[in-house]
Amino acid sequence: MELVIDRVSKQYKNKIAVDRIDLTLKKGIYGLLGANGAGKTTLMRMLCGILTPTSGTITYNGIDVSEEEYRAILGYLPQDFGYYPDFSGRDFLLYMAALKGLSKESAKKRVNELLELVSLTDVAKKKIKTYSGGMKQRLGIAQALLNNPQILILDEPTAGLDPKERVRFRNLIADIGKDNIVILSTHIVSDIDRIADRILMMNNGKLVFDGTREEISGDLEEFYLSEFGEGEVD
Amino acid sequence: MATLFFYELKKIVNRKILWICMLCGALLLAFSVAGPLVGDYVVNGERLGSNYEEFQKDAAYQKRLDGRAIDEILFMEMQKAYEKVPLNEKKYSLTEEYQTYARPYSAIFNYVRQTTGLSATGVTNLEASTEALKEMRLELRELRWEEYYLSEVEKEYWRAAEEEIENPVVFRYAEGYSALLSLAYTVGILSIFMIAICMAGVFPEEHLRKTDQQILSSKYGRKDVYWAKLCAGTLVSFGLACVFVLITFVTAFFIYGMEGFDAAFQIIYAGSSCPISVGQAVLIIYGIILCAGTFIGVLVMTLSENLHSSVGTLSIVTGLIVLPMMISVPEEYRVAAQLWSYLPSDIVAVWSCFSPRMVVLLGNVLQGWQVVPVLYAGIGVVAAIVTERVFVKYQVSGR
Repeated sequence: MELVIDRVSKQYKNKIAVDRIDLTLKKGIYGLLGANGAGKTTLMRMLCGILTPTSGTITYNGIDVSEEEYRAILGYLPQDFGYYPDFSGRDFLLYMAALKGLSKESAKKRVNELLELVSLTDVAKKKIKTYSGGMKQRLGIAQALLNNPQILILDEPTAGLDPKERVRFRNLIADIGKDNIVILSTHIVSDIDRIADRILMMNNGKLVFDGTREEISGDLEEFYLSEFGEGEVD
Repeated sequence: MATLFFYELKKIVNRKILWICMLCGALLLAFSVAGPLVGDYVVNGERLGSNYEEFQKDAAYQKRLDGRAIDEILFMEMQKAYEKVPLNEKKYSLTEEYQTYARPYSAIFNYVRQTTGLSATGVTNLEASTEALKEMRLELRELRWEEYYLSEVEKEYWRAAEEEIENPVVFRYAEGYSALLSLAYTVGILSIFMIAICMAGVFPEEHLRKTDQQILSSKYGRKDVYWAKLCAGTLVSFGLACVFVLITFVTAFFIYGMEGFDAAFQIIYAGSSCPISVGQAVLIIYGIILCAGTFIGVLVMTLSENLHSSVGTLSIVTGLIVLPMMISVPEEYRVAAQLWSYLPSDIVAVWSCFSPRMVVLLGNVLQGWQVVPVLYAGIGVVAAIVTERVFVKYQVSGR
């Protein structure tokens, strides 16, 4: 199980959003930190195959990110998670399950499990437009987990979750990270602090730190601020 | 794939715009069919009755003539009735003589005028036999074919077709089919416009809602979902066109009746040489409306995915719909005029659908309504294949 990011860059006209990133990720949880515009979302989109790098390659066990086989083992929660307001939570998950290639029977079973896991069983038949922000976010997390992904990419997954839900979410991710690759970016440093096996920091499209929590002495947030001098942790 | 198709269908059906368009279209069409019968029949400020009463009167007269051949006997009967009318008067139809003697034969009078191209007085002064009427009809047809710049092959085809038309033509009450034929253009334009509005957002909505990120990063989020979405949109376009056609049929038959399916097409549209019945003509043109509606659905969906904009797509398609109403290509530019008449908003008119211009292909002579479904299917498939690449390679960036 090896996700290889080989000298990946993304350039938009005069701006380099991601600059020659080299990484090899094995199973575990990777926390991605960086200020606004650091290139985190661009990197995540490239990892999901929905944005083509200007140069470099991304492969998982030799499978290119653009292939269907790769997408079959991928789970993705974008920062700006999209949904269909007139779908019920259950229908949305069943639709996503069909997209991910689950059979009807296994989709039903998995959807029920996930609705239970994210505490949405009671509102599963209600339209998503009636959900609160936190409920929508939990639905987003559920859809990312539908296919038991080997690579789970989460962009700001805890946004909108209350403290209790955040704790549950952290435990869930910690569990998934034991056997899979989980990459998550969050502005809540404490989320990464507690569960990330490795911390990645980006600035101006470059990877400026790649290390374990143990390599950072003291408070992670203070370390982050000291690394960058200023700027919002995002 | 079937599950994806089901959910894509559900997404489209859940859109409010679909139901709004369907309701507006249905109301407009029902009114278009029934509209001519609503209100008063007023002449020179004087109410003579209601439009519905006048229609009933004409319908009764036509039913009295139902089944009679338009031969010299009926022709002379009609002439005798019209001789009593001062046709030189500007509004002769308001005279007592017209209302009493001529009006019962007005359907025959109009048929003869259209088939011979004669004026009102010309018809009354004509000494004609059944054969002479046919001769005059053929002469007029030959003139029209010249105006259309038909080739000798086409003319020969139509001469042979004219021989197949029953002679003398038997008059039938076919007001339901007549209404359907004259409404075909309205139904066609309205259908394609409403379908364009409904389908313009099907693809761009995924980008607007940002659901494209989850879709494109899923196993079947590329080719499979694209075809499922396109097929669902195509089915809805076809369904919407069917609803509009059905509403028109039900309203027209309810008001005007279903009699006359087997009547010769020439009773209603003397300008055609197609040896078909009026019922067959109705089925053909409404079949073309279904084709045009479905084609517009595919065209709008593929165009909107290429432009990533529903507004931009609607602007282009509205132009495509409106342009043939404002601009006509002169007949001397034969190929251009023929292609222009194949545009979805033009082919839905009786005069384009049953135009004498034909396509000669590998020894086969095909009419417009036979060519258009194949042409639309071909363009639709090409557009769909080209757009698949655009959809699959879409880059999520800049948000």
